[in-house]
Amino acid sequence: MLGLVFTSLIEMMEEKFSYDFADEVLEEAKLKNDGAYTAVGYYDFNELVKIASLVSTKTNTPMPALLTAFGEYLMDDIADGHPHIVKDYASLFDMLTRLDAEIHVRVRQLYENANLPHFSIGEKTDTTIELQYSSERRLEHLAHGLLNGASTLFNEPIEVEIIETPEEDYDVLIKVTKVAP
Amino acid sequence: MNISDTQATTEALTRRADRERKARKAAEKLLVDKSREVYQAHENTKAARDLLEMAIWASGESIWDWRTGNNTSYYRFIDNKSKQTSESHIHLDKFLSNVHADDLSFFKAHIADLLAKRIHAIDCAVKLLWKNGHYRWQRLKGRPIEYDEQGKVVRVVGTMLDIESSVKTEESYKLMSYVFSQAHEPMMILSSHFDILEVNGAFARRLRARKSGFKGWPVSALLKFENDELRALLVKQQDYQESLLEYDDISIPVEVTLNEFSSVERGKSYIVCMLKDLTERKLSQNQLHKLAHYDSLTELLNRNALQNAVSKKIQHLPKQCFAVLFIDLDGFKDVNDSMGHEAGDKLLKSISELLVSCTQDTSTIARWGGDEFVAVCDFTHAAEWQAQAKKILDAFTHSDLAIKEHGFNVSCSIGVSLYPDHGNTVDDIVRNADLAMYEAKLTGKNRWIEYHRSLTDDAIRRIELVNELGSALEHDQIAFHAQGKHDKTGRIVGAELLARWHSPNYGKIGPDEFIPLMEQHGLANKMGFAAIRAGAHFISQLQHQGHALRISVNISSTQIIQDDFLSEAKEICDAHNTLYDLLEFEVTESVFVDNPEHAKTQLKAIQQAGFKISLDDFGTGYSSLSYIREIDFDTVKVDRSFLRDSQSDEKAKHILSVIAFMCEGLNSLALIEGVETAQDLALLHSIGYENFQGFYFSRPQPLQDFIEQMEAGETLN
Repeated sequence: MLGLVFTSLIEMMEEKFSYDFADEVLEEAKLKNDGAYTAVGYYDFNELVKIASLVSTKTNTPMPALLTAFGEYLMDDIADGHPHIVKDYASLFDMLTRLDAEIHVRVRQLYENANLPHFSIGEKTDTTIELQYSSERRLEHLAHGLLNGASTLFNEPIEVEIIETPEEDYDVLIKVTKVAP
Repeated sequence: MNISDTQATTEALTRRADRERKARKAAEKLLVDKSREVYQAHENTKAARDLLEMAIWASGESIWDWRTGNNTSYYRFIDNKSKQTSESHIHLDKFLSNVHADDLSFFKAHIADLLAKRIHAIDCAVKLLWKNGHYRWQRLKGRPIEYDEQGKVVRVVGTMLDIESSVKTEESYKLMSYVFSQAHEPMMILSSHFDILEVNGAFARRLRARKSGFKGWPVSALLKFENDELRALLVKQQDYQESLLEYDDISIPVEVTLNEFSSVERGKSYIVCMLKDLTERKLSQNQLHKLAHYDSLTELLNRNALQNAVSKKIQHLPKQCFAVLFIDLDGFKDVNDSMGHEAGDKLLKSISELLVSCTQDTSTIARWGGDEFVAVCDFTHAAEWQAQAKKILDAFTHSDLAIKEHGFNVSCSIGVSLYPDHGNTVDDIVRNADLAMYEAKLTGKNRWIEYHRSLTDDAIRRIELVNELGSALEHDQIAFHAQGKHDKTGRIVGAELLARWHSPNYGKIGPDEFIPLMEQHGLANKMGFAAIRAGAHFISQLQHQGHALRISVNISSTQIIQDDFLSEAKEICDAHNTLYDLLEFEVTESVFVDNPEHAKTQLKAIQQAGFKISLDDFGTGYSSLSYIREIDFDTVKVDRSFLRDSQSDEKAKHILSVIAFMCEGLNSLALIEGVETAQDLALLHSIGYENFQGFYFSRPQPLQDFIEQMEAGETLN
């Protein structure tokens, strides 16, 4: 998992709770590198799971809600570091349409080992777009948060619905619907 | 805050600081690793690019990249020597302006096809203006690599290759191949092992076969050669070699030339084999041979060939007896003179056929020259060649030669000499046959005479006489006698000088013998001038003694019409102070035979100078009246034969009378020769003659005697 996700999660802990809380979580998690993450590094996904689980327990927040909140925070962080992401696309839907084809390609140019989720475009109308999500890590709620964050960046209010699709060959369907501001 | 809290805070800060430092170092390490990775990737890329450029350099190509949007081309060129790359940008219009006018419309159409996707790649050759101002052939190849949303081609990438030298090579191959296919001479292309790879059209035509039919054949199957000879030709030990080109039932003499030819592009060497058809040359060689050995008119052997044939005969068959028949036509000169050379030639041709038809197949017949033929006949008994000679004479008598229609009687005189009796060499045998022929002529023509020893003696005498005559003329040893010309009273009114000669070895020789000898041996001119000198001298001598007498001398027909005759005659007379009009030249009718117009001009000029001219022996030749009409002869001398006949023949008498009458009308003096008796004179008086010459009046006598006789006569009168 990209270092950016770890550093962003630690920053969120420090910001939303406190430095001590973050220190406490990192201490308790007994991480291989004692929590010394760098955004450009690449780390074991299980360590992220350990950290997130401790945060969920200590703050009494269910994991899906925690991941969604973190996704929103993470999107802000990404936009700070890669401002052209917003500039290069005309709209949120434009960005979502080309997510796999362009953004993930660029990510791989920088992090050739990145284990990225796969998004296919399902049905698409002017107001809705269905993203067929597949990932062994099942971070659809993180995706949900990222979508929320992007919605804020593009200033296009949306509703996101995550539908389990056991029948399909992808994991879940993420249905994004534009709503009136 | 208590101490433990402070301590805990410090620990937490320390942990965070540691985390931050470790994270920074990890990031730094990542950065260094990444940088190294990027550098390595860059190096790899560069190496790959270098390799690509070297490959392009090695192929001699350069790269171009054309953006159709703004029509500019990026052009990357690798210098052949320095291997340095140079780059430039060029606008399409500028590029097009460098394309040769011949190729421009084609090139534009090619590009239009590419943009319209009618073709999927550029592949063409154009002549492009080079920096040095010359055009060079370039080959352009390329493919579109980018399209816009509408599918329009926006970018085309490709290479350009200078193909000037290969185009040139190709052109020269084309030219060579054109020459090869179009050449009139047969040609082949051979492998280095002398196997036929290709033949040209001329070759196939000559052998009446298909061009493809000879592929793979060893050349020795068609050309008769030893392998060594071919090698010798190839390494130019020899420039050419004659051989025979043989195929089927065709056999052509040829001259063979080989040239090695290396194809740089194909890395092989070939042999160009050129053949020159010698058929024509051989034919003309045969013709030359024919010309050298055969007479072109009669197609009989010529003199040389006959001599060679007889020499070989003697050499190879020395025991075989043979007769050489030397055949000379009688009266041929008359045919030639009066009917022209063409008729003469035709006659010679007919006679050659006649001779062939009446001789044995084993006989050899040749034209010796002019109207002389030689037949060589083998024999065992003399009767055989005698029969042959008779057969030839009979053939002439009984033949229906066209010439006979014109009243010409063509016969022949044959001299025969025998091998080995009359000679052992060609020259001897033929010369003796010639002598025998001469004898046959002298003894009446139309006969054959076998050679005998005395003929050679006669010939030797003739040769010696000719030599003495030459010397006599040279030393003024010819004497002249004068015979008077008389009027009706018998008075001397003129004289004719007649030559007399006394040979140192043979004594007195009559003019009947030595005059023809002189004419036959080119001494007539000298004789003529000797006579003029004698005449001029005599006239001046007479003048000194108070006599103005006209003296005539005989001049040959050929001499008097020569351009320098008149000036020489004048010179002689001037030297003796002689009046021209006292000198008279006697000529016969034959002066008109060859060129009557020329004769007329010359004779008139002589008369205009003051000299007199008389027509001698009138009545013995053709006696064409046109001659005496053309020229106003001062005197016409009527031949004595008329007078001889007139005593018994009334017709001859009438003719004599008519001649006298005619001469009177033409203003010519009629003088009759050969007056010997008083009876003659009486007859001549009766028919009107007043001028005479003959024994009745005076014989030719030495000049001094003549003068004395004349003076005595005057005294008498």
